[in-house]
Order: sequence, then C-alpha cells, then structure tokens
Amino acid sequence: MTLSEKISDFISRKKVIKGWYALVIIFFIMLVIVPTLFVLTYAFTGWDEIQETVMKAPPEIQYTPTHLPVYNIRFTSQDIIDVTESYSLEVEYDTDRDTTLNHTVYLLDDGEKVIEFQEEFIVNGTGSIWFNASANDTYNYFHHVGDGYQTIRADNGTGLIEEWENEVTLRSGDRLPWDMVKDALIVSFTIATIVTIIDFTAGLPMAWLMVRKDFRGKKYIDTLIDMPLAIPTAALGFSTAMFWAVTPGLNPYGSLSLTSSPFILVILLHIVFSYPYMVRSLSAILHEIDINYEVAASTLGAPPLTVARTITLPLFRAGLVTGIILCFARSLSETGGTMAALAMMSPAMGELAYPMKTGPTLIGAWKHAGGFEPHLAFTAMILVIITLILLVIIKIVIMKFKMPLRKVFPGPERLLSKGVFPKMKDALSFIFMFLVLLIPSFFIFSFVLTGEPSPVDWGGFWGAMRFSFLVAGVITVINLIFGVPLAIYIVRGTNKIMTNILDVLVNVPLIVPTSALGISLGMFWGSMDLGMTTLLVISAHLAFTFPLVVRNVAGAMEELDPTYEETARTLGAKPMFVFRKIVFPSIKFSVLAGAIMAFTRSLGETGATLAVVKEANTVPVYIVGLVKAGNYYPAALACIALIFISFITMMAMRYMTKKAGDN
Amino acid sequence: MPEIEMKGITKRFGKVTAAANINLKIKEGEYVTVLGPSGCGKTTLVKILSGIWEPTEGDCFIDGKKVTGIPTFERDLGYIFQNIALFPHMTVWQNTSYAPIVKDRDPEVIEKSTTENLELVNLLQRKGFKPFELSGGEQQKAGIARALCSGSKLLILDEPLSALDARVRLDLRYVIKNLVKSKGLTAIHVTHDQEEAMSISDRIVLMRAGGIVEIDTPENLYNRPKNIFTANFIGEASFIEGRIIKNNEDNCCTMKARNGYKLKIRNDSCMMKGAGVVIAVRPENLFISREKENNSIPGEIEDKIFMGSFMRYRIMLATHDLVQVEIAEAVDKTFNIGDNVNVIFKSEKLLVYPRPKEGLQEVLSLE
Amino acid sequence: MPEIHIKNLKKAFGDLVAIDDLTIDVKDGEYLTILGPTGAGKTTLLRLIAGLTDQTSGSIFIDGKCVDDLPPERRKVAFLSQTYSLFPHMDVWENTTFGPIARGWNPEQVEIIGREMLEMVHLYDRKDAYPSELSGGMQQRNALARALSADAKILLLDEPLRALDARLRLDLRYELKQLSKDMGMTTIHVTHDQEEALTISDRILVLRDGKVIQSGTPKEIFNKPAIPFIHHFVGEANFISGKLLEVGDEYSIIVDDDGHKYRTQKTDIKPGSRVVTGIKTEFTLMTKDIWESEDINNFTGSIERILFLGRFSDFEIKLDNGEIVHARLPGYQANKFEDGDKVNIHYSPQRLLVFPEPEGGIKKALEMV
Repeated sequence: MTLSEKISDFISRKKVIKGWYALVIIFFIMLVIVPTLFVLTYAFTGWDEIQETVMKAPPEIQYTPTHLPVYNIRFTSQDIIDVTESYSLEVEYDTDRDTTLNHTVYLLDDGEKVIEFQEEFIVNGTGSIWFNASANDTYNYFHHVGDGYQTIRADNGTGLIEEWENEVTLRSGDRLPWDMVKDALIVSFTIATIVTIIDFTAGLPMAWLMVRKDFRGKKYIDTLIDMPLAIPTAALGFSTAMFWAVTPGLNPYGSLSLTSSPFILVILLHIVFSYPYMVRSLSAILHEIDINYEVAASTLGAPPLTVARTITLPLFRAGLVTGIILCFARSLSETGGTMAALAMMSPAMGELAYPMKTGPTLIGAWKHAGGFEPHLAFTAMILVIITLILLVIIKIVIMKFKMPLRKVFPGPERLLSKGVFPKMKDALSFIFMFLVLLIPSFFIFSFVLTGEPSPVDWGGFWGAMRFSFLVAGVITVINLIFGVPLAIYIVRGTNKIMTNILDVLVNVPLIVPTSALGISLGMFWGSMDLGMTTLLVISAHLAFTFPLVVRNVAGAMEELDPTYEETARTLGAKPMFVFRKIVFPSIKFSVLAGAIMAFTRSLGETGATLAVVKEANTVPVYIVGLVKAGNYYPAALACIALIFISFITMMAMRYMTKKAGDN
Repeated sequence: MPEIEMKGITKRFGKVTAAANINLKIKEGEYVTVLGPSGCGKTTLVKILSGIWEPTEGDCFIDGKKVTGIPTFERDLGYIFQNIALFPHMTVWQNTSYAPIVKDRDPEVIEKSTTENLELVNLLQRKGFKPFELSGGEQQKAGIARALCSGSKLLILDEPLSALDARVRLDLRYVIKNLVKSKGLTAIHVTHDQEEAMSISDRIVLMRAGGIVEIDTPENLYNRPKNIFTANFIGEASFIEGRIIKNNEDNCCTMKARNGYKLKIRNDSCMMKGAGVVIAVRPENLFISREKENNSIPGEIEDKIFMGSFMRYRIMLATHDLVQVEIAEAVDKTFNIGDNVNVIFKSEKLLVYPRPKEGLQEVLSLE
Repeated sequence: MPEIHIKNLKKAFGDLVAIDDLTIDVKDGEYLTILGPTGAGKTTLLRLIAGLTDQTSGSIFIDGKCVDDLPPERRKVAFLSQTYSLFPHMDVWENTTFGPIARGWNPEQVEIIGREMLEMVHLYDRKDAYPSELSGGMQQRNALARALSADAKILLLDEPLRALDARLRLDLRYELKQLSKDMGMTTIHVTHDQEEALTISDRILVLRDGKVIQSGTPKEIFNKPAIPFIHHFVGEANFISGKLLEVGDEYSIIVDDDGHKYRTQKTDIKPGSRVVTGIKTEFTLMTKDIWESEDINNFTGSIERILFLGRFSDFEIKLDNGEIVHARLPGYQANKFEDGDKVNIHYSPQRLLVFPEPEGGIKKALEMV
C-alpha cells in the first residue's frame, strides 16, 4: 500500500470522518457564529455602561467665544456662529503639498489634557474645509463635562506646523446619544425597505425576461446585470454620487446633479448593488418553477398577467424570501459606498457632522473618532437584534400572505397582457437597468477622462492593495478548508436536526450588517486581548464571507444526485475515493465560484474593516479616506484599478458558474 | 366542433430538426394518437398545435382558422400533461375551477361545471385535497377534470400515463377513453407506448425521426402494417430474412431463408424472383409442433416464459433467426427448454416486406 | 456462493414504517422480482441490502455472513439505480472500470474486465462516448456493465426499465435476464410492472406497505393469488362479494347481496362466512349468441367499450343488472365483437377464486396505496 492509499484509507474510516465533521462544526460555531453574535452579551455585561453613557442625559459642551487669531500662515479661519448651539469653523488653506489638518478637542482633567475627540483631513492645493458641529447633533456625546481646548493643527510634512487653539467648555445638549442611534437606524431601515421594494418591482420583470423569454443579446444583458457586483461598493458610491448628486467642488462632464438630498442618493446607490442580487435570486426561483405550471394555466385560457399573479407568484414565495432578505441585508450593511457618497455631498466636513447618517456610517464615524465603545456596542447590538427579528417577520409574512386567488380580473388582465403593454414593461425594465444601474456604475470613467489630474500617492495605494489581497487570500483558503466539508455535512448529514440548525446558522453572518459584525468580532477578540490588527481584520472578513462558500457548495451538493455517490460506494469505492472521483469533479466549479465570491467580497468590504479596527488600511478604506478628504482624482484612479481587478475575477467566476451550470 | 389540420409543419431547434414537413388532418370527434420512440418529434407536434411553441415553417388550422401567431390562452383547448402539473398551491377544486374562473364565467356556471367534471372522474369527495395528498392516478384524474372544465372540445394529452404505475395506467385508459367519447371531444394523444396507443385511439400516427411513418387505424397497423418498422414497433414481431426463389401463380412465392430452409409466402406486391425479402410474424400467429409439418422450420426452445393466460416460447430456428411463439395456456402441450420443435408458418399470417437496403437492424432500431 | 438471508428486517423513517419485519431468503443464482405499487417499500429494501441506509432493526446475511456493519463498498453487491447514475463526467470506459479501479486492481486486470464487460453489452465500440451521448437503452447497458465489472455476485436492480420507451422495454427485459443468468448472478429486481415481473422472474415477491403479502413462482402468483389485491394487481379481475352458501367436492356456491348464486372453485373457508370471489378478465368467456342455458354462472350484457391491444382486446361490459365488468379476449376472437353488441358472459367455476371478505370491503382492498 502506498502512502497516499494509506492516507485515503485512514481518512475514509467512519470515526475519522465523524471527527473531521465535528472539528469543522466546532470551527464554524467558535470562529464564525459566536464572534458574530458576541455583541449580544454586552446587553448583560455592559448594560450599566450603556445606561450611563448612551441612555442618560449626555454631558454638555460649551464654546467660549474667542476671536481667532489671524496667523501669518497658509490657512485662515473665520465665522464662529453661536457656539452654544452650533458652530461652523472654516479653515482656508493654500498649500503645494499634502497637508494634514487635525481637529482635536481636549478636556482638562486635573490640569491634564485628555483627547476627547479627533478628526483628520489631508488637503492639497487651494480651498477651504469646514469643521461643523451642532450642540444638539454632534458634539453632545462627549463623555465628560467641563473645560477644555479645541485645536486645529496643520502639518505639511516638512516639519512646518501651524497651530490654533481655542478654549471651550463642554456641556450637555438636549438630545441623548440614543437619539442619534435611533435616527440612524430609522434611516437605515427605511432605506433598506424602499430599496428592497424598488428592487423587487423592477427586478421581477427583468428576471422574467431573463428566464422565460428568448431574445437576441440575452447573454450580454445577463452579464451586464452582474456588472455592479464586480465593482467594490466604495467605488460605486463615488461613481453614483458623481452622476446623480449635487457634489460641491466636483462637476464632471455628464453629471446630472439632480439631487442634493443624501437620502435619495443613498437609495439610488443601494439599488445599484442590491438589484443584481434580487434579479439573480428571482431568476433562480423562476428556473426552479416547472414551466409546465404556467403552460398549463395558459392552456386553460389564462392570459400571461393572470398566470403570473395566480400561479407563478404564489409558487415563488420561498425564493422570494431569499431575494428580499439578501437585498435588505445588503442595503442594511453597506458602509463604504454610503460613506463615500455622503462625504461627497458634504465635502470637507467631519463625518460626524454629515446631515444624515445610517447605522453603519454612524458606527464607522464613532469608531473613527475613538472612545465610544459603549455606544458602538449598543448600536451593533440593536442592529443585530432588529435585523434578526425583522427577517423572521419578513419570512413569516411572505409565507402566510395569501394571494387573492379566487379574484380574477379577466378583462383588465387580458387587456394588459396584450399589445403595447408587455412591450412597454420590457422597455422600462431595460431603461431602468441602464439608467439606474449601469451608467451610474461606470460614470467614474467620465470623471477620470475629463477631470483635472492631480498627483497620486501610489505608495499608499499599493500598500492598501497588498493588505487587501493578503486578507482576501487568507480568508479564501480558510473558507475552502472548512467551508466545503461543512457544506457537504449540511446537505448529506444524517442527523437532520443538526443539519437544519447549521443550515440556519450559516446564514446569520450573511444577514447581520457587516459593521455590527465587525464591532462584535472586535469585542470578542478584543476581550482576548490579541491586539493584532491583521488577525482581527482577517477574522472579521472570514465571518461574513464564510456563508458565501458554504452556500455555493451546498447548492451544488443539493443538485448532485446522491445516487452517484451511492452507486460508487456499491462499486467498491471508499468515501475518500468517492469524494475525489465523483463529488469533487461535480462541484469543483461551484467551489471555485464560492472562493472567488468570498475573495471579491472581502476585497470590496468597508464596514466590517472599519468597525473592527480603525487603523486598518484596506483599499476600500483607503478610497473612502481619499474621498472624504476631497482628493477625488486619486480616489477615482484607485477605484478604477480596483474595478479592473475585481472585474477580471468576476469574469472568471461567471465562466466557472457557467461551467458548473452546464455540467 | 373542432377539426384540426397541420400543413407542412417543420420545427427546427438550431441544427436539429424535430419535425419535418408534417401534414395531418384530424376529423372532429376523432381520437388520434401520435406514437413513436423518444425523440421522434411527437411532443413537438402537440406543442405547436397548442401554441406553446411556434413552428419554424407551416401552419396549424383549428376549425379551418389559421392559429399561427395566436397565443395559447386564446386557442381554446384542454391540455393534459405528462408530469400532471396540477398547481401545487391550490386544492383539487381550485385547480379544476381555474379555467372557468379565468375565462370569467358566471359563478353558478363555474360551480356547476366544476362539480360535474369532478364527479366524472370520481374525485368530488376529494375536492378539498391538495395535489400532494393524492395518489399518482388520482392526480392525473384531477388533471383530466381540470382540462375538461375549460369547456373546450379539443383535448390534447401529452403522455398522460407515462408517469404512473403500470397497473394504474390500465385503469386510466378506460377513464380517458370513456370521457372523450361520451363528451364527443376531438383528442390528440401523444405516447411512446404502443399498447396504450392501440387501446385508446381511432387512428394512430406513427412517427420516427421527425417524420410520419404511417397513419392508420390500430387494427390495420397491427394486422396489416405497410411499413416494416411499424410491424416491429406496434406489437412484437419476429423476422426472417431470405430471397424469393420461385413465383407461384396463386399470388404466392417460395422464399429461401438461411441454411436452405424454404417457406411459402404471399407475394401481394409482386416482387421479382431473386429479390431480397423479410417476413415478419406476430408471436400469436406462429404455432409449434413436435412433428414435421408443412411450411415449418425446425428449431430449439431457448426459453419459456409464463405470461398469465398463455406461454411464450423463444425458439432459435435452424435459420439462426430467433422467433417468439405464444400459445394459449388451454392448448399448451408444455414444451420444455431444450426441446427440438417445428415452428409452423401460416402464409396468410405472414407480413412480407422487401429487404431494406440499410439492413434490417438499422430499420427496426427502436432508438 | 451468494445467497441472501434477510431476517426480521425493519426500517422506519420517523413514524413511517417503510419495511415491516421482513424475512426473505434468496437462493443462489435466483432471479427474484419484488413487485408492488409505488410506496410499497421496494426501493428501501434494495438500499438496505446494498448498505446505503441503515436498518432500524433486524439483520441481513450474505453468504451466511452478517453484513449489518459492513459499509456498501465491502458488501460486493452491484446496485443499478432507476436513473442508472452513470457518472456524467466520465466516458463509457471510465464508468465501466470505475469499480475495479476503486478496488485497486492492477491495470492489466482492469483492462481485461473493462473490455470483457463492454463487449458483452455491445458497447465496446462506443467506449469513448459520454453518457449524455448515449441513447436510453445504451445508458442502461453501460450501467449494467459497470455494475457487473465490480466483482459482485449479487445484482440489485431498481426499476431498471422504467426510464425506457414501452416498446424497448419488451426487448430489453429478456436481455437483462439472460445476462444475469449467464453471469451466474443472484438478482433482485424491483418493479411496479406486473407483466415485467411475470415474464422474467424465477420467483416473485409481492410487497405492499412494507410487508410481503405473497411469494411464489409467476404461475403461483397469477393462478393462486393469496389475497384479492394480488388477484387484481397481477392481471385484472372482476369481483363479486357475497356469502359462502355451501362447499362441495368440486364446487362451492356463493350467493351475492342481490340473492344471485354463483358456482365457484372449492374452498376451505367455512360455509356461512362473508367472502369475495374473483375471476381474471383473461378467463372471462364471452360469446355473441345468447345462451339459453340455466347455468347460474351465465350473464347477459352489452359491450360499452372496446380497447384494442393487438393480440388482445379488453372489453368493458355493462351487465343487465347494471354492473360493469371487464373481459379480455385474444385477437382472433375479439374481432367478432363491436360496441353495443349484446353478449353472453360466462364465469368458469374453476377460475372463480374465493377469498374471505377483506376488512372494509373489496373496493378498499383493491386500492393501490
């Protein structure tokens, strides 16, 4: 017996297989599920702190009005308006190189300066930047009340430091930090709901077209729908905002500049990256539904619209849940793109001062500012709980909701099924796709081609790129090692209770907003005090990409008729031989597709990265940073580089899944 | 009352031709079965007729009206599916009443026709059941009721019995034939099962490789098939190849098979002396005897198969042709495996064909 | 030598009992058919023997050795699934030699057995084709070659002909039996098709609701069915329920609920008990001229429907008392009748089998599930 046969023999033993499955399940529970939901424990361990800092009347800030000294330097400031309510501080700059502007609020604690808040921008060229705050909105979550200082410091890297200082008194505003959390979450859930409804309304006719109709150029449209998935959301946010919104200081050729409402912009942005998920899940179910049901209905005299309403939609339900949950969860957890878009609408503002915040951007901002652990934990906890509850409700509502079966509107439905109406519906689907999806996605190219070039810090970019690839590579490998066996166990395992539980649990990291997940993971690993940035980022990315691999492989396993494996066994093959010769060749494309999906998702993720450690420097984080600082041109170039890389991997994935589908 | 006509129907999928220039006329009230092996294009035909697919060339006419381009839901027909396709989220009652509802009939009419059709298939007491709670046979009965409830006089049955157990199939044949005849419907039935086709139809359209082989009544196709493929496909047959060596006056001739054995056969199509010939004979038309008889060939019994009311013998003739002989149990004198017997050929029961150029196996191939 | 001995085998899926306390012996070289309607537990039984699922209780012995703890690859049992399960990513040759390679045979042996098996099923010249390029019949033969090349002496066939066209099935069932006999295999063949079972088996086992309800040669199953269900399932039968009036040496007399008397075969059942009697439609005699005979087994009626089947025709006849009965006549007799003909029906007493009346009535006893 050769060594490999011995190994194969050993692995094929029943006990070894059982042990391996046990190990995989433990890995999954301990490294993915527990860290993901760890934040919920804060409700018990940190409740006092939450009461103290989030729910209670917050401390005050008070700015003592003083005149700004006029410095003989390259930045000036002016306009101090009613500092007890809010203030707006503009700093003009005129510099020929990258200059860091640092805005810090100190508190005097027994004569010692304690940093209470800090934000930083990198500026270049000539312009001005605003530090805004309102007592009722922004600075009213300081931990302490008392006297302090506010400083603005400029550093242009040549050792030239300019500094301006102002005395302040920190005092309480009227609103609680809890109100901010509440506002942000309401915004988030409202946006997610609206986005999901629009996605569904626009996605259903599209999915129908893609599955049930044959037309020329179908496969190109099929590819185009997936395009936005190839673009990291940070880049999408940048591109979309440029196209739709009024973006001060930036007006590339072709920009529509239609809206100055961040709310509308964020909805438009979220549609771009969630729509493909909706169309994909709806198409998948449509494929599953035996076309004979629809044919049967039409032979019985039902016009297409009636068929859709009375036959297809009711059969849809289970799959509808998947589509809606995916879109909802994606919209709820998106961070990078939203941050970029908001930053562009309110350029050169502290991110805590943006007029609108979503749950994830609030988490990002607090994390960035530092010192808000109870706030973060609280927000993440609420986000996780509401998400899970809401998803259960969505599931129940959709499954229980009764279609008005008996009611048929033969006249109108017959009319609407004929002539110009179906064509109009098809045309609208295409217009929606091009106008809302594709043009905004690729608008960034217009900016790069027509905009003013400015110098680019390639070193920083490549550094971020290296880090991103390291993280994505490591998590992909780990995902494969543990994800494939778990998927096989979920589909083929004999203990049905166990496999059902695992099946549900696998989806949890997919549904939980990534920034909440990041906070949770940070707390879990932070409590163990490992303190290593890279490891933390990796474990965060591992958690939310793990389900992608498991889902893909489990899907392929479900498709694979178990009689192949059984037949191979009766022909004398041991389990490991069956895996190598029968199972793996049949699912290998799905394994690859899962791996590439995990890789690209990791590459494009912002929220989880920002939430877990604030110094992490992945490409999307780097891009968001550039956008916030108004360095649009380098941001755009970085975006395009990232799009290019993702695009290649995405195409590879499409090829793989196609192959998997053909087999 | 519907009358169907297909004129020059051709359907291509890319390079594959599923149906080639099909011409077919079905009278009103007629039960026609389209029969053929898998992939012969029989399903294509009814899908085109019902408007599920559009023909590449040619037109269909229902009642003399051209229906090409008219969508399925406006063609007014009943369709019964191989996989039954009962709407899984609806009860038997909802399934059955679907057609009158979407056709906007009066509530009383809906109520009445649904009740009536469910009664016909004996399912009224199950009207509150969901499809998955029914057995396979009951599901297809519900499928029939649903199709009949559309009120159409044209019924298309697309392999309606294939998914069912063998025994259930036998019972449903009666159900279907009785319903169609008592309601005076025009029916087109697609199947690969020659027995089902014979039992149920007025006429059979036998198809192969996208074309029509033969159209005739079941009796004619079974007893007097014009095509050698028909002889084998509809009912079983044994074949013996040979050559005509002598033409007699009485429309008969002498055929020489392998190893010099001679048989007297009929020669209705006046084949010339020396022509290659194949005879086909049904198992029930052959007889065996221990003694040498007129027009017989000796052989050895290879296998003996019990088939209920009769026995089937598989006999290897001295001409190296394998023949099957069926003998009713009542007259069976119990021959045993290994026995040497004579197989008697009655010339009036033999089907005679010119020997095909492509070779016999090629022409008879079932796939 | 491969004998199978199954003892008190039971398999339950939750509350559902698929196999209920089954004891079966299969002799070496026997061709056993398991016949039953959908849901009878036929496939489950095969999967238990192959080791693809674990029994709830009971034991399986192959060659006198208990195999309960052996995984499928060590049971040396060839299993042919309904869909054949040819590995789609392997060609005919790779499929066929899968077993020998999995068992670690040396390359020459693999080459020899692969060639031998493929030549046997006439597929050697298609050895580079992929399953999707083969017709249904070829796929079945390829699967068979694969199953037989794996050094097994027991062949389990799960509805091996179901996926094929009706006409092709007739030819292939003989080939299947011949092959199994030539190879000296012990075969268990599962089917729902009573005609298939009759024609190929040495012995038939009728399974219903996870229980064996009769085991015997095709002849026994056909001529001496154990219960009315089998009488009706294997072939088709007309039934009359009534009371057993008297039992004679040659005949018994039964009176039905309308008071009509019938002469039936003799029986061991006690006179006075409720019974059903049934006759296969094949043995129902039908003539055109109305007999004026006094025979109590004679009835008159009219033909409602004729189903032409080639060598047979099936008749649906409405008797004068309103009852519907069926008759099956060979072709040469059948062609004398037409729809609407008045006919005379005769039930030959020897062919009227008598059974104790099943619980819940005869109609319920004949239901397929």
